[in-house]
Amino acid sequence: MATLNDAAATFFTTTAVNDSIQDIYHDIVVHVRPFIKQFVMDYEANTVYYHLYNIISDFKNVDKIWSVESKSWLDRVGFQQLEMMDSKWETRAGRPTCYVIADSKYVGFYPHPKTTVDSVEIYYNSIPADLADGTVMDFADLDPQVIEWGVLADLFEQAEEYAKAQTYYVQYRDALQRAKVLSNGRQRTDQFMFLWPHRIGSNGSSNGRPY
Amino acid sequence: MPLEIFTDAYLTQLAEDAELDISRRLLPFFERFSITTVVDQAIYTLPAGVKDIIRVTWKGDALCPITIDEIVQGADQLLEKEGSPPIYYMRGFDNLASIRLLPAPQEVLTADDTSIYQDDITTLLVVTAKMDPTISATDFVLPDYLARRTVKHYVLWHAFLREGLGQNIDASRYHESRYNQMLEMYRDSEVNHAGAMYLLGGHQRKKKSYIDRLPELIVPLGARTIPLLAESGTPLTGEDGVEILLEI
Repeated sequence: MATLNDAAATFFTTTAVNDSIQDIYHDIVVHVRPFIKQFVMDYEANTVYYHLYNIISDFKNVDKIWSVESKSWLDRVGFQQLEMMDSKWETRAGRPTCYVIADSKYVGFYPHPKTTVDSVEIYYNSIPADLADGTVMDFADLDPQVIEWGVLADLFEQAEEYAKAQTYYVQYRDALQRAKVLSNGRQRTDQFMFLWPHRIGSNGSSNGRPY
Repeated sequence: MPLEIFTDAYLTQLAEDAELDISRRLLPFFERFSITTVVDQAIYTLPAGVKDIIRVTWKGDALCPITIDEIVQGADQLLEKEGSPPIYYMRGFDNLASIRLLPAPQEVLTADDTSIYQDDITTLLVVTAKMDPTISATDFVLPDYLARRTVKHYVLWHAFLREGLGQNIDASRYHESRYNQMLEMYRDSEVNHAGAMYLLGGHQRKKKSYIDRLPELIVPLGARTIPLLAESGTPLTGEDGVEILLEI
């Protein structure tokens, strides 16, 4: 609030600023690196498609699926691959070996279990929780100004200062891109530092791909 | 009394249009439904909002999509097999809002969607398709993280563009630009995080343009074998007397 005031004149309410920060925080997390979480789901008898968006409260999209009983990762396939494997795949019962992402909410399993005894661990990208006072934003060091520019773009838009809003939005988008590169590079450096020390760039984002 | 420039009904309509547009360009929705069949009736109307058909099953068995050209090129001999369950389906025969089953069904299957997402489809004609969202539905809406920041820009883009008291061309251009930029960013994000598989029909990994996402046929290669028939309708056999099968 302090940086948005001019000579003690308040242009925006605390609520408006907090809402903008919340929105931009969600936006950044979704674009830069959604947090990966795990959810253990029991199969339902005879069910092919699961509405994960309803089952998991902060679900965004599936990343990986682990079969607890068979101790193996399920293969992600498309509808066309399933059709080629088995034209009756939706009625085929058994322990699942594959899954298909139907849309942003549904996931189908092939084959599907007839009982509820098995379960899977679903690793998914999640929607971030709402911010609270004292929350430390874990991406702040990636680009310190990314959230400020995003919030300013949002607030100037509300004030119908479109030229300024667009300017800040472009700044925000560029900062978001930089944060994304740094975030990816950071993870890559952690993963491959031991195996590929001679190929890791100083910021971890270049020459770091071992393939 | 304050002057009402944009009515609630108008803005609600724009919000619904926004959901349709975002879904069309970014996240088509997955939906399944069954259809009641009638003996000897080949053409069935699809529900409103159906876009791409993913698959059609007759009693759990996949039907093959076919075009009029393929029928002309010889498949017509296979279609008159009396007593056969449907083998093919064709879209765009009469219009895009209906499908034609080939051959026409010879029995009545009654629609029942109560367990349509389970395996209990062996007595049903089931269509799996990409659908348009409905803003009034509880399940058939865009995810919150996507809708909250994109619908607003679509609504304001069109509202400010409308001729009349509220017209503001600069504001309209700004919101149009923001809307398109945000969709592009979310599209990249979805492709990076989820893969393009569910965005674009379930099998492509590369990004595709909007034009490429127009309805396409997904042919289940090798999914079925069909007996070749003589003009009289009897199955053709080889020298060894074994029926000749065509794999499609």
